[in-house]
Amino acid sequence: MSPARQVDPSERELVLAAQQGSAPALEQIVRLHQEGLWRLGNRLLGSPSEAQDLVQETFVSALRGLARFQAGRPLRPWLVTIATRLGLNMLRTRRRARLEPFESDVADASPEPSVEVERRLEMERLMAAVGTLEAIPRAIVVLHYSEEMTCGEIGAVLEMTESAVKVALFRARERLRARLGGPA
Amino acid sequence: MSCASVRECMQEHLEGTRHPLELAGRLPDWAQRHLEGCGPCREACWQLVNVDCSLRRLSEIPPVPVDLTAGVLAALSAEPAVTPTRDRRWMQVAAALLVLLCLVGWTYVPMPVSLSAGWSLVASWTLPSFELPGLTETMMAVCAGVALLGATALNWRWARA
Repeated sequence: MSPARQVDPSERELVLAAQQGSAPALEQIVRLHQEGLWRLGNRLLGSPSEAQDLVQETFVSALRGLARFQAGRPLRPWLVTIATRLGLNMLRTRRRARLEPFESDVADASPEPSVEVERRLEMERLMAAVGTLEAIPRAIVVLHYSEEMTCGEIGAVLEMTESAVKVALFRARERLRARLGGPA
Repeated sequence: MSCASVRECMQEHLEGTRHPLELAGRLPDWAQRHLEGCGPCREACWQLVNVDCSLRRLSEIPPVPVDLTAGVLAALSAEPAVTPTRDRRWMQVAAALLVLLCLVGWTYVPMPVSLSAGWSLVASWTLPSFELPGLTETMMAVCAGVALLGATALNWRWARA
């Protein structure tokens, strides 16, 4: 997600239409961005049900602020910022320092090839390790790897300097290395 | 050099590597020499690349619930409809007119006696004879101030709406 990303003219028109109260335009915005926000919520909160709540809250919050949004700006960074801040609030208020085990359906996936099951198990292990991080480092790791954002972009979302994000990312990776790879 | 500085260096060069040997090859000579003689740092190098590769899998989209869109749309429908954005161009025109009015007033309206007295004080270094400003000047100044404050408050309120 680059800051220099050009705004899709159709996205601009969609935003303008939604700002004028068009329900179909709003629905199209939801359909365009819900998957990305779902992934972000899922990675950040580690729970599909909470991620679903987060996606809903993000769009509701965006709707409330839509009148003030400049139609020429890209929509995705704005939505990611809202979702991240809401997600961090959810993490803090629910006082869930650690992720619950990922709510997956590996046990029900008996007919699947073993490679697929192995990939799922690896993802669960990874999510559990990410879940051991504190809220801010967790958000940094998720935004960097899941949303493919640069340290500068993450800094803008979390209101941190680029160097502070970089240091936090280094430390988070070092912790994950120790957890996933064993002490070296 | 310490293991800590080598590991920090590895982190700085980690981005985009797919194999530990690739990462090792990117390191400066001093760090490569350290890696040759330090087993724990070599191990850390392998683990770091593996962790980085694993973390990249976070960008995969997990299975999306079938009712996600319906849930979001239901939540949005419970919200009041979006208020169409107001055209604020008239406020810009009003502000420009206000500035113009001030400029015209500054140029053509005679300076109040008290200000003239101030100028004469500066110019001649003599004690002026002060007089109170006239009622018209006072009323004009008060009206301009109220209009300016009102326009600012209105603009602020609408910007937050």
